[in-house]
Amino acid sequence: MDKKKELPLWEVFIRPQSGLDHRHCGSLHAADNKMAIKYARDLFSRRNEAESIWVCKSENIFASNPNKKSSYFEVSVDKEFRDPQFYKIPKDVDYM
Amino acid sequence: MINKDLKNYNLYLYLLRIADTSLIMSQRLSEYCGVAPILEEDLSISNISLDYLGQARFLYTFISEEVPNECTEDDFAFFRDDDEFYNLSISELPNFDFARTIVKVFFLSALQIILWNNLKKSNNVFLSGVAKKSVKEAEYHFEHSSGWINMLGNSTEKARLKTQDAIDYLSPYTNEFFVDDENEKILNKKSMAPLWSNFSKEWHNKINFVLGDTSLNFNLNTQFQSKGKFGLHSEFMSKILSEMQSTARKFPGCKW
Amino acid sequence: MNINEKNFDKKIEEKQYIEPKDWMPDEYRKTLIRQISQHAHSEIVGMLPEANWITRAPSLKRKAILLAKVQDEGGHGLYLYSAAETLGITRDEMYLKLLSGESKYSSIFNYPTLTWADVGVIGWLVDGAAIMNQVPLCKCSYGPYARAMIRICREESFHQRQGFQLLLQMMQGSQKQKDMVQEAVNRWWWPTLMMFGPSDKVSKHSKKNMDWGIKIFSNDELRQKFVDEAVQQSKTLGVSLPDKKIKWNKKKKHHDFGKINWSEFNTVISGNGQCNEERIRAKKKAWDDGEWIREAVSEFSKKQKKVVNG
Repeated sequence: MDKKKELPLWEVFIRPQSGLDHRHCGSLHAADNKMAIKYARDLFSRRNEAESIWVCKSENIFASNPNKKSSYFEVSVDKEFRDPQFYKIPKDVDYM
Repeated sequence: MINKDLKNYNLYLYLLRIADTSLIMSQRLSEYCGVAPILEEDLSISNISLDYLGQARFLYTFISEEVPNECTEDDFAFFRDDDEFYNLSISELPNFDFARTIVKVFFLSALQIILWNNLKKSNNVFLSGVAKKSVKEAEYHFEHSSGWINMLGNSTEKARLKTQDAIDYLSPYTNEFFVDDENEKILNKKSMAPLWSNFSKEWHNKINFVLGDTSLNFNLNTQFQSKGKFGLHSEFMSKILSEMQSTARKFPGCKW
Repeated sequence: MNINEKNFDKKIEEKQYIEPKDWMPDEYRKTLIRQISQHAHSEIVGMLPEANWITRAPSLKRKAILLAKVQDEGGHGLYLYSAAETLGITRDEMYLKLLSGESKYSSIFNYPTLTWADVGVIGWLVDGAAIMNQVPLCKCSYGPYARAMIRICREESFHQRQGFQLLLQMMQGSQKQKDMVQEAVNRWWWPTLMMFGPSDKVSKHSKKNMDWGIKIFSNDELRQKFVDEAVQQSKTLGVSLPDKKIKWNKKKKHHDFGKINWSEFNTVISGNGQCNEERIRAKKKAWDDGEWIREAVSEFSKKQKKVVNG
């Protein structure tokens, strides 16, 4: 089997309605970006689940290393001042 | 099912041509379901088939609600004989291969964009409503099939030959698109529908614009004119109907 | 046991998801590839028995519903192939294993659809059984598989409902329609029960898969649940099930049912069912017919790359 003949793999991201983020929902094979968008519509939006579609060739996705999760993502104990809960505000101050 | 004595007979006949073409196109494309050459394309072709089916259903329902005798969309689809169908002959031709299937969609959707855009202006409220919805579907079908034509015409020699064969096989059937008859002339006089003969230049421009980016050609050197829109079909039509109508006719009067 | 294995086991124990780039045992990866790809194959082969009736649907509404349903099955196959590809196998590799017979698909699809009523019965019973198998998989340990299953389950309940409603309509119709439904139920009931697979005492894959969170309930548990629900539903429809041994067991609070003919199951799964040849032939033909198209697309893709890269 000739691996070169396989159509490129694309990752698909859809935004279900305006105001929300695009979310990854899966992948598909297509020759080019136009075909990828069309197929993404047929595959992931048969029930109007997408208001917007992004496609990106899988080979162009750069991902963080799962082995470095702790150094990348762990919230440091000494930076809790980023969290709103850190601050005590008098009760009679509205809307903060 | 529609009587020549009916007040709006001309309109119904005109609508049946469009509805029957959509129904038979849907039927042919649905034969691909489960066996298309690429799985993603299986879904796309099924979508196009569903769009066509939807258009046919809209139009049959409209006519069935207008005519005095009680009938439904299913009566139109399953209980008319060959000579009561008025689809363009191109729609009844077998799929044969992917190239022919996609070129068929390409030719027809180019026609339908022009047709539906013109029908949006009709002074018949229902027709202009259906046209507004259907033109978006036709645009999608045209974009999809053009994408394929471009790809097949700009890749391997084998793909180019197969697609050129498909164009050569199907192009004689496009002559029928631009033939006016008495029915259309009557409706045109009443500003209810456009004359299809007026579409010829625009249609050829659309087709050639896409083909121009490839080494494929549209060469029409024949006066052959198919007559499906007059109820005179190819030998394929009765086979399609035998299959399509078989279950419904085996259980007449039953509800599903 | 090394640190990777320890971390993996901890994640499984804590019911955390394993994602594509995480370390995983080879056996886990292989098992998932086998299970997900066979699930995908089942979806796309499963398109065929129902697609068989699209061109002959007895009403335009039913034609549209069936076409949409079969299209969904194709979509489910695609979600699953995409999930399997995250494990390091390509779509083409999986597909060729299907065509060669190395990879299996659900045995149920080797049975023929002989009448229109089969379409309804497949929706009611076969999709009903599939849903029962699939819902627990939404919590499977492998992230991409679980997410694909959530998407599939959302769409699948339409499949069972449309089938059930189709049958309900026919059972309120003519005697001929009712007879057609009963006859179809008689043919599909036992093969549907076989869909859950052999009893867990016999099945070699079950225990490990349950430890790994790939399988959550046993075959027998799911089969029992299915029988209990289907018996109830058959009463609403007004059809009888072809098993005289079905009886409510007060003590167990389940329905007892008759013995399954496992030799039929083995015959079908090993390639000698009524439609095995035709199913694979249809898929092989689609593959072969598509060769020139895939080549064309690949060639076009290469040309595009040249244009972009200058």
